[in-house]
Amino acid sequence: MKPIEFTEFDLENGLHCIVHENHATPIVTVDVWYHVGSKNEEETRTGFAHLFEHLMFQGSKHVGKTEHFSYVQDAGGTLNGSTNFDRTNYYETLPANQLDLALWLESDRMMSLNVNEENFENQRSVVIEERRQRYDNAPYGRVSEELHKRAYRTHPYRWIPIGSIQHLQAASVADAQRFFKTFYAPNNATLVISGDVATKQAREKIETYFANIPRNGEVPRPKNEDLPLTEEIRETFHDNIELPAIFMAYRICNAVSKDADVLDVISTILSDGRSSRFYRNLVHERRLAQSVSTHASANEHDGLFHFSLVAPQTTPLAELEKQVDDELQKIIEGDITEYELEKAKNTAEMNLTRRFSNNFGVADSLAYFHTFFKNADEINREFERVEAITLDDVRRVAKKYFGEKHRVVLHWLPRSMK
Amino acid sequence: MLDRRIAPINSEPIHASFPDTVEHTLSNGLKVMLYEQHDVPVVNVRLYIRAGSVLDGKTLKASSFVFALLQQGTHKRTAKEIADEIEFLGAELTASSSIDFGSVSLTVMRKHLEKGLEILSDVVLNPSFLENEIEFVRQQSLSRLQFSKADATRLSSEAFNRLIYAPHPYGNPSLGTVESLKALTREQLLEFYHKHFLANRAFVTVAGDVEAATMMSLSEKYFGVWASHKSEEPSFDLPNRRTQPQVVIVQKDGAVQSVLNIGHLSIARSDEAFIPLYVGNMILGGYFGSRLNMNLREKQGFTYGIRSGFDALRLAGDFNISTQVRNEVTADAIEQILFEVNRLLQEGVSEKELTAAKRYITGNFVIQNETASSIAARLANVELYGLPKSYYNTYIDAINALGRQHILDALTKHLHTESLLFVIAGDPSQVSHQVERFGALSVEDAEGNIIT
Repeated sequence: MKPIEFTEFDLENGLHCIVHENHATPIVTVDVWYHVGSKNEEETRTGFAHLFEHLMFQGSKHVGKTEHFSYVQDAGGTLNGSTNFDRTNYYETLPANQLDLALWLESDRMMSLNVNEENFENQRSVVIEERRQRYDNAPYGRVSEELHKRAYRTHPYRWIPIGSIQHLQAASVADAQRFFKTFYAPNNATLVISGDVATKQAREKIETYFANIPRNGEVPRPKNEDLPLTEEIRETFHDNIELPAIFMAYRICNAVSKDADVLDVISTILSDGRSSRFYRNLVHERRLAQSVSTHASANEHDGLFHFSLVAPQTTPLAELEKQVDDELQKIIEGDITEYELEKAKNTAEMNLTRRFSNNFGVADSLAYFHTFFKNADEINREFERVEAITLDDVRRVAKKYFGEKHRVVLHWLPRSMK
Repeated sequence: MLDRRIAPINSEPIHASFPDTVEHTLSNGLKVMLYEQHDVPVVNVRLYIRAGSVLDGKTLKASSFVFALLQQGTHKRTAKEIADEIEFLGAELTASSSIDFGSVSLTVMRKHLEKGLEILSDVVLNPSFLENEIEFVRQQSLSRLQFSKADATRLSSEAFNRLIYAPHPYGNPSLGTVESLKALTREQLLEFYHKHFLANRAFVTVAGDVEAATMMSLSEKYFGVWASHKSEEPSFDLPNRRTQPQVVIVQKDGAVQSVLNIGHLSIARSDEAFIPLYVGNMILGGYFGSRLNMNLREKQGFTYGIRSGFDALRLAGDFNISTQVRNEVTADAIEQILFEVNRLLQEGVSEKELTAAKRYITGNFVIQNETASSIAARLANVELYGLPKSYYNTYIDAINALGRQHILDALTKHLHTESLLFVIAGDPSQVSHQVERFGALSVEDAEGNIIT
């Protein structure tokens, strides 16, 4: 694979900067990562990191409410932000000659938050509607919340980034000011520029806009520790859905661990594509499932391996669950072949290659590897790491994480089946 | 010293051009359109066939079954073998049908292009339609239909389409009905396949890391044998636009939001009014900075988001405003929507709004041209919707030439606020009393049966 070339430097205030030149199209992406997500929230203020992301579009010292959007869009650009367990990102892609505008906007809100009661109230309502739309009013929308609640004991991954309506309603402007002061500072951020720019000029511009933003004190961080899951936790829900489903989660490692790459490969072998084990056996041949997906979600801290299986009403869920268990047992016993492993590696090569077909894909990966791996150049070693995986690794990792049924199992049933 | 009070906006015009592409017609009449881009060693080949669900006739979902079955076995390969061979290449092969057309898409590393094309050709030219695989697709389709009854956004958009277009085939249920899914036979699928899967009803777009000469000779090798056969294009009567407002609630008990689709029948994609309406709508509800979003989201906090659009297809289209709001503000949200549409028709758009929308559209045109696949999709649009050859080369000039009066004229002619259809998927006990004042009210169940 063609390596991604980039230049890295730190400003004196601790802002880490990465510039990647790509002159294929006259555009530029600016992507700012703050190393704060829902795991930094207090347990009585779940959902706050995400609500705060919304507030960052409500104004800063020199930018009025909704002007952040209008400045970028009126200049021909696109923009957004997102919040997950571990980080919050803000990004815009613009015609390349608008780099100054993007840096001015991002630096202004890195140094100042300007949110009043009215804007706060407005975005609280918007976020509550977001929760209703994507979680409460969507089929199976509450699954991830119920899984996380049971899969963790003390770690803040036990709630999900959207948070609870009750906590959102209790949040205040004062909370926002405190959150901004604690987490939004150059020494807790990574700035990536990818696109049709010259590195030297980009660096000068970054210094112009960001160098005089003061750094902050030490950022508090939760520890990567939790009580172990020592049993199987089962629950059955009856909901406004039509097809029964099984959702399972096992605790796994964090993203930096070598095991995470192996778990990705296991997930590919289990459920990626029509030649995958679950699709072939459970969907196509036995027709016990309507759809199957698995996902190794190794986060900054120890994550979860998810299984989701939606079934026709005629399938007994116990039978479907047994099939999944049998397949996992086979993998633990070394049933995966060289052919399957190579196929999974070919899939990984394709996915990694395609991810770098736009500036945002490159920028967000660079920020990811810098923030969590402390080494942006891991972007160029991703495929190497996957290439090195052996059948022994697959067996060992499967046994390590799936060997005991220490897991959460949720059966999700239509109300009519009560 | 930096003065942060002044936004550093570069006011130069955005230079937007559409890249050069190559077009070639094979010996059998199959057209191949290609955009070379060598940054990433991947090629996407997409074969479009004018065999969409609009041609289903009485056999609802025939198009969908035929496209789904392409990968479920050929005279040379079983479904398993197709999946194994494609996925061992790390490639992706997908087939699906939409309303006006269906397509089969191959995404493959450059080094495996020829092998991928051989399989693509096999699934399109030699599908076997085995009974066992038909039963598999049938079961999947029945489950998907059942699954969808729990999804309020789908209930709303399905009812909206039916009420706008039926009996035109654009109003057919997109997932079929239980009866139609159970009734489809192998003979009907073969008939659909042989009637519509012809080289003269198809074209190919190619985007990515391949040289034109290589691709054209490979295309000749793998698709040159495909037969052409001229056939009569069926025509369908368009329904009349309704003359009175109508309100339909699709019952979704326990819903915590109302899903709204509000609109009316409108123009086809090739209509000359499409561009001025596209720009006018951008300001109404086409992007984050639109009037509807600024009002209903950023001012009122009724919703996570709202959009409006002229969703224009080959034969007709509709104007559609869609959003999801909490139950209690359903009527308030509709009031604000009507306020904004009426205000737009009375005042038109401002010079400032028009300039902003033009710059947004132009800049996004450049950004979207970053990926080879979106350029290929534009080449396909020209073919599918009968647009002028130079459409995307002159697109930005056409946008920039528009004045406020053009926009207002187009909106005045094509927005019909007196006869809107309001579809609401939600909880009737929460919303019926709120919305009856907007038009004649009825309540339906998920199958479209009228309850009250």
